[in-house]
Amino acid sequence: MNKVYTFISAIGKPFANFIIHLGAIINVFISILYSFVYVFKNPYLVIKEIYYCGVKSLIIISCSGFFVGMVLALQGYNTLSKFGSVSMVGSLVAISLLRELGPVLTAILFAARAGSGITAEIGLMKATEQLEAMNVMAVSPIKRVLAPKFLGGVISTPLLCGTFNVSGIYGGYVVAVIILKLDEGSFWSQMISNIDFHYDVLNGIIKSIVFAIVINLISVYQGYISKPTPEGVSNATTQTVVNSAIIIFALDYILTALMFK
Amino acid sequence: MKEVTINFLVGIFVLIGIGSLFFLSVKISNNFFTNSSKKSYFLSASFNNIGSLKVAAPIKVSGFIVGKVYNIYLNQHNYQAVVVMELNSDYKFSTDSSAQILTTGLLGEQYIALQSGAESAYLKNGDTISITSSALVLENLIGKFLTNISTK
Amino acid sequence: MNISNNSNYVVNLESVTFSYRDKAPIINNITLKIPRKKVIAIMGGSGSGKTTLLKLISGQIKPLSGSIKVFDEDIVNQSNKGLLELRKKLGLLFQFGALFTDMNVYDNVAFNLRENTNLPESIIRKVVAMKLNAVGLFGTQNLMPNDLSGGMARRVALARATVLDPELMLYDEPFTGLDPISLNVIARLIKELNEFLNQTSILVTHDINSSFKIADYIYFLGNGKIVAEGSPQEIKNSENEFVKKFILGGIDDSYKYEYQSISEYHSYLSRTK
Repeated sequence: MNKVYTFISAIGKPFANFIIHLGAIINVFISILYSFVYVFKNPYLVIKEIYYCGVKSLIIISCSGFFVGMVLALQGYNTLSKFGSVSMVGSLVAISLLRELGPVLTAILFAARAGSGITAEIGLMKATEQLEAMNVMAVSPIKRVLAPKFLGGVISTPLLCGTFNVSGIYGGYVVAVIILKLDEGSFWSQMISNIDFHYDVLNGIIKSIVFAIVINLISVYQGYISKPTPEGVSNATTQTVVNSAIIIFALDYILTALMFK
Repeated sequence: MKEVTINFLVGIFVLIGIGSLFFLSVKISNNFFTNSSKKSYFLSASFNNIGSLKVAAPIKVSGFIVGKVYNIYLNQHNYQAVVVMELNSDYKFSTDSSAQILTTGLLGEQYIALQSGAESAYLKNGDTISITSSALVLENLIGKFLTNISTK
Repeated sequence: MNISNNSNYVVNLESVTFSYRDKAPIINNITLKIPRKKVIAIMGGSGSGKTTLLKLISGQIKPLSGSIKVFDEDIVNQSNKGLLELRKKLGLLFQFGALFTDMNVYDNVAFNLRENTNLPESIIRKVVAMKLNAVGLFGTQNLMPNDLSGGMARRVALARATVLDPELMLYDEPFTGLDPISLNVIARLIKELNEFLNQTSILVTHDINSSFKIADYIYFLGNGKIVAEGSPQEIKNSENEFVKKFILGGIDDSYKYEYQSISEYHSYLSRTK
């Protein structure tokens, strides 16, 4: 009997924890939305966060995008040459980037580069009682710390995703046109005729915005609930990256199923 | 770092980001600013077989994209598939134009090719293109080919 | 009679009990009153519940039972908004300062003014300069908290906590980890601020010399209860065993400082053999 009880509680506890976290994260999200009035009155707070998570991620994002585009072009060329349709390389690169790789890889890179930083910063502020100090000064940390970081991240991610896509397309261009000597005209014209603004570009941007909201919410939440110890903060940053990655892939499937029928 | 420097860098970042989104929307994709922002009109055409034609497939004239497939439905009376096409208002077609479902390459996507006729009157919004030829279904073609061989 | 009596007290605790989760109570049925415009020291050894008491007064945690009134307002059942309003009249100096590490000294001190008032920047600049001058740190405006020594950081934190001239100042271990000179500086500042700003100060500390020097009244906590109270002179002459030991700093065999009893240790040893 005791073993059965232990077994059930072993299964039930993570599940109950998950639901508790879900409720708490939505609670934080609503509090953040309430704080937007304050944040718009103090735009410099957000600009600073865009600098830390957007500007500083620009190089890693565009470099990664460039190489991803190069790889896509090379792999696409190898496969498409079997069917004699190498002129499709351009549209293959662009469609893969716009629909999937751009939003997903940008989100993962952002979670690893900026999201973990956001978590660590909030966690350390908690560990050094800075959040508590704000509370005592009648300033809600959610309003003053979490909301600007959240908004800065949400603004940065789609912009980074656009940069990723463009550098990826140029990476593909370098491989296809400069290295493999494909026709430049058909590279671009195939791309243009096969990509639809609403279907490919806009859906990709919507994906990126959804991912941005999720990652940044996870990042600020993990920092906010982290235990005020070095171990707690390191745990929270790990959780940010792990949770973000899993949720991005799961959400990507759902969004893809909804968008691309 | 100074506030001015941060503002400047963030400004550049936002410009790069918006610039790349603009590049993606305008330079890389069709149907934006060129087509969808301008007025469009609708034509329909019935086909015996549309093959694997899908909504949003391109409509081309001499290979040039002039619109896209807006909707596909089945006419319950004669069991023909009706394709509603959304065409850019810049392009007019004579009343005896013909529509044909073609495939890009051997295995590529299907699209509708329009061919203008000789009439001087133009098709208006809501009109129907009467001269159509259906999609080429590879299985039927192979079937015909095989029966031809066996009868010989 | 009762009403006028009440208004002479800034903080009113009525049989307050608190514990973390289901552990033994840290605060056990404490009733105490903090009179207006006085410096009150709450003393006791580590783990006696001093800091917890401070957190209860500032509303950071809620008691299991009992009522807490600050400025005659019940803070136990206070809404979040009411609590925020109440906290504007309250200053808290954290044990290690808790300065915002991403802002310089000027922004740290100006924080409360910017968030809770609509003062123009020119006036904020003057107030910050005045407050920094009061703690003897004028000229450090552009330094970052990491550039400051522990004593300086605590003084900046003091300037930050008093910038809105709160009616009630709470000090959490203000003397810990300071050299004797910095310690005296902080003690003098607390006393001066209390006199000049007409505020009530609650001082949580285990530093005997400083609190005897500046406190008007002392509460002695032990095991979650008040074991002694009185003016510094009365405490010095107290006959209470615990207080005597605390002041003399000596321990004898009867003082139990072990977490578990010694017999548990012996049984552990015999088990592991």
